[in-house]
Amino acid sequence: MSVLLNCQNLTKSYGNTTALNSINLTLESGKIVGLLGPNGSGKTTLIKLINGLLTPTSGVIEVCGLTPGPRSREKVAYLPDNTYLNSWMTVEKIVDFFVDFYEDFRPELAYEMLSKLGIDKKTRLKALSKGNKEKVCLILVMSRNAQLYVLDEPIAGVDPAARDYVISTIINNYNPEATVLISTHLISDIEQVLDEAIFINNGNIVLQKSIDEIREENGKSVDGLFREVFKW
Amino acid sequence: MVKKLFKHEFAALGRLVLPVLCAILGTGLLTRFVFLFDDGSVYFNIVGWSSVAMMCITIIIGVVLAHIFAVVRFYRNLFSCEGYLSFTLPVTPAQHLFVKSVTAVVFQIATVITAILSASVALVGEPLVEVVKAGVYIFGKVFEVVDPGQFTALAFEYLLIMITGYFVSLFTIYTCICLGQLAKKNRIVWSVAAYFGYYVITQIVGTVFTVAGTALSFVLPMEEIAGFIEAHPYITAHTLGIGSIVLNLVLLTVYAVVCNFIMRKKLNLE
Repeated sequence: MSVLLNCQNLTKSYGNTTALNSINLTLESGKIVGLLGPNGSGKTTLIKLINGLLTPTSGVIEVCGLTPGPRSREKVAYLPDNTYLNSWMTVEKIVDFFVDFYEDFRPELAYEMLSKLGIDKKTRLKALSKGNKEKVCLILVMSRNAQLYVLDEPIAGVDPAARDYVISTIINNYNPEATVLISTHLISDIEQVLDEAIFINNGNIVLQKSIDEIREENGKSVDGLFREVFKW
Repeated sequence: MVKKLFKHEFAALGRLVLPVLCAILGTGLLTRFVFLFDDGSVYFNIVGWSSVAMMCITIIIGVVLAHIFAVVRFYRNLFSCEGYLSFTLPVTPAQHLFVKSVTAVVFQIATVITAILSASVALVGEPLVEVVKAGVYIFGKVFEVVDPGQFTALAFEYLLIMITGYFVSLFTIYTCICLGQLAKKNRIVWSVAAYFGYYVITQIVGTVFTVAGTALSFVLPMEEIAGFIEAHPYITAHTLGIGSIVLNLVLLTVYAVVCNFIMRKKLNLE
């Protein structure tokens, strides 16, 4: 197993507000990890730091042994929590875009998943429904043979049937030697696929354990423990 | 990666600018077509010159629109939702800046060339012949006074001043947009405020230099300076030309460094 993410005393502050408070975190390869926490806990801040969209205030972060930047982005597949694609582009052009910039992108896999959804490659993104746009974004990310997949709230705002689709797409298409980091607060839907859970609250890592350990030590599900730890 | 960025940047900006170029060329063709029916009547004069006015207005709007599209493309592709894709590509911010600015300049040059083409198309026939004859006459008179080699060099310098000057104006706006990103909220408003602040500062600096220059004119040996300029006009012209290019390059470097720093170290997409 190799270390794909290493955070040492990682801190991110915005003025007087500390979004991440000197966290220490290590993720190894070959796992599906849930980054779980309430709104404003620091999940998206950590994800942005992993992708080089933010720079740390202090501390160290290494992704696949590299400081977040162009080289680490070749190894990280990122799904943000909003639709980030150019709406005027056709699905075909967006696939070509990913082929151009990511060597590990598998267009045949992307087209296979798109055809199963009944999405014509000549369709412009702006002609798709919100749900289908999100599915296209997910398909593009999961069609990469990355070392680290970072999915920020992939099942928020989608109906239960679509959530099942999202989860099955993740499970069936990710590189088994990679790690998938899923940020969410909808734990009950995702718990059955997780290997490990990280609880984060107010910028601090509260817990990082395997799902089996959590269930054995606490006698409850991850969702149940989450509700207990983060109850108001 | 830069080649791939150029490919997609040209496609993205081209889909906005190419219709504008077509409109510019179209008005030139329309004007030419209208003047085929020139019968010298008052009615035709109204229609014909209206067509010319429409062509001129379309050219002006086209040049402005090409600039606006480039600026909006910069903002939307980097600092709106699309920024989550752009900044997670295996590409550096410097590469983004380079590709976007060069693409914008290329399309602006294409717009100017299209405008010249449109005017040429509108004048095709005897009018164009007259324009060319006038141009040949004027250049003939100029070359009686100015050395052709020096004139060519000065023309090339002037072209470089215009191109570098456009890069500077583009990067001024890029820098203001990047400075606006440092705000927590209302970033577009702060970008506009930054541009306004830049304008005020340049006006102040310009005024200071004007006052200082006027004051110096009472101290410096102005007659000797005027005599030198008269005796060495090409050296003076080249000095001013190359000096302007160097100044533009210095400003461009400063703006590029500021933009690159903000995009690398201070990025915080909403």
